[in-house]
This record gives sequence, structure tokens and C-alpha cells, in this order.
Amino acid sequence: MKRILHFLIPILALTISVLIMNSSEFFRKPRSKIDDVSGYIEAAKADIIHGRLDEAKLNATNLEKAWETVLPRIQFSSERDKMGDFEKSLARLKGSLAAGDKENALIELSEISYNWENIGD
Amino acid sequence: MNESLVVFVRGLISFVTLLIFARILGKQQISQLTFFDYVLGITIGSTASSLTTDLDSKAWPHWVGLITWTGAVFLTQLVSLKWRSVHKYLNGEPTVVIMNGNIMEKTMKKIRYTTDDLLEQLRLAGEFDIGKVEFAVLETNGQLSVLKKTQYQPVTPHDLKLSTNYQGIGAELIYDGVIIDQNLQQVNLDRKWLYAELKKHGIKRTSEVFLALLDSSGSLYIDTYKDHITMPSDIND
Repeated sequence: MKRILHFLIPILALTISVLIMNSSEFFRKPRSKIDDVSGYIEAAKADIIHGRLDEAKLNATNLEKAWETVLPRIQFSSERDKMGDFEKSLARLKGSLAAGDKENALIELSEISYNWENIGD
Repeated sequence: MNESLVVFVRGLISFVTLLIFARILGKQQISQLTFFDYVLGITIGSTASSLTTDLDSKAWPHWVGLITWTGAVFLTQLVSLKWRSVHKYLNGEPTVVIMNGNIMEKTMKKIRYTTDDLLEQLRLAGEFDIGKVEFAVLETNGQLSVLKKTQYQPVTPHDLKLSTNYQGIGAELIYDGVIIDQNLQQVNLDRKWLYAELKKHGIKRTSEVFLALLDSSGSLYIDTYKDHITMPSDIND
């Protein structure tokens, strides 16, 4: 038993470490509607394309909430600068929507989408 | 992002990984390390440090770097163990710097080893008179092995044809107030005997004992927590 534990403990410790370091893909997947980042990105994009700016603002707010829900889960396996880029794009998106700038809002959403796909990759 | 929490978790990962990898790589002491081993150690340590605090990159690539270096060192160790020529190629060979009492200036020049270095290392080896040295070998880890001329070597009981008693390694029977039963069994003794011995020394409980050692001659060394020293000597300024 002692000999088994002698090997089992380090193997277990290394396995847990590897899983934590590569968990972003798993933890990015939505657990409910509240943390569906991709869903809100697509919804906001559709709203802007069809000129529904009020709905787009609502979806942008929901997107921010979803991001705040997902962030604690993915922070151990993701890069700080990529997470920072996501938050900056989100702030610019909100600004663009507040100004009614559809073109810029679409550009920012595209960047948000790109950042989201690359976080933890 | 909670940076402190992330650094804490990554620090734990780094610590556990280093601990396990260091155990895998073996028990070489700092003094036994070659220059290459030393550099390897620094690189592995530096990578582990980046794994902990470089939050702008993922922990995973650093971890892969860590396992790559450790794996490379482990492989080098295995290859060195199997093929002597590879071991010599990787770690270098010891160099004779004093032969038959003569300093090997040309050899020293080749390895960029100065006379000052030689004299310093001789002094560190306890040899202040170079005239007493027959051979001095600079080992691959940078230490100097010194062989004195026979007329200056210390006399041993063997030289005087004296018989000596066997001296083995002492067994720890009590550490920090706790009896180590495994060691007691190894020396074919039991708790009953130990309690009787403690009683002889005026000790009532094992919790009073910091360390109890049994040497190969059968004598028991006991150190209690109460040292009964009224004026401890202070070697500080």
C-alpha cells in the first residue's frame, strides 16, 4: 500500500496539474444560459445587423455578465493579456453601442469573438 | 481576474512539479554538481518561476518546458550511466594538475586554471604546503582531490597493526518524543527495553526526549528537551 501511494501521489499531483493547466476549453463551454458567451456574441451581432440597437445593448450587458461568470473558471488556464484584450473590446463595444455606431460595434464584436476563441488556446 | 489566486494556484503547480522532478533527477548535492548541472538547475528553476508569475502566458507551455528540460537531464543521466564514453564527453574528465609533486602548467593553461586557484583549493583541502603534495586532481565538479606524499600521510591503526572495533551507523529510537518502532525492531529490541533504559537515565516519559540514538556498540545516546544549562555560551559578537 505504501509503495502504491509512493507512486500514486506524484502521478495524481501531476495529473491534476496538467488538467488545471488545460482546462480552459472545458470551462469555456456554457453551463447555463447565463454564461453563454458565444451565444450572446452571436445574438448581439444579429441585433446590430438588423438595427435593433436596444436589444444589442441588452445582449452586450448579458455578454459582460456571462464573461464575469466564466472568468473565475478559466483564469487558471488562460493568458492575462488575452483576457485583458477581451475586456477592452467589450468596453469599446459598449461605447460604440452607446454612441449608436453600428460599424464600430460590429468591428468590436468581431474582435471579441476572435479573442474569445483564442483565450486559453 | 484574481491575480493573487492565479499566482497561488500556479505556484502550487510549480512547487509540486519541481519537487517531483527533483526527486526523479536524484540526490546529487550542490558540491557534486558539474558546471552543466548547475546551469541546468538554474534553467529549470527559472522556468518554474516563469510558470508561477508570468501570467501573460499560459502555464502549460512553461510546464512543457520544465518537463522537456527534466526529461533531457534524465535521459543524459541514463545515457551516461550506460556508456562511459558519453559520460566523459558530457561531463568532462578529471584533470591532473600536480603530478609527482610537479605542477602541470601546460594542462592548467589548457583548462584556464590559475596557480592562485590551485593554491586556494589546496588550502581549502587543508594543505598549506604544496611541497607535501604528490598528486592533485581537479575533478569535473571543480573540487580538488589531493594525495599527500606518503611520508606526510597520517598514520592509521592499520599502519600500526592495531585492532579496531566495528563501527556501524546509529539507529534513531526516539525522535521528537516519538518512539520509532521500526528502528527498534531492526536492532532486535523492544519498547520494554527502551523504557528500562530511559528509567536508568531518570526519564519517566518518552515525550521528555528529543533524540535517542543507539550506536553499533550498544550504547544509548539520549538528549532531553531540558538541557539544564544555566549560561548558554554565545558565539555571536
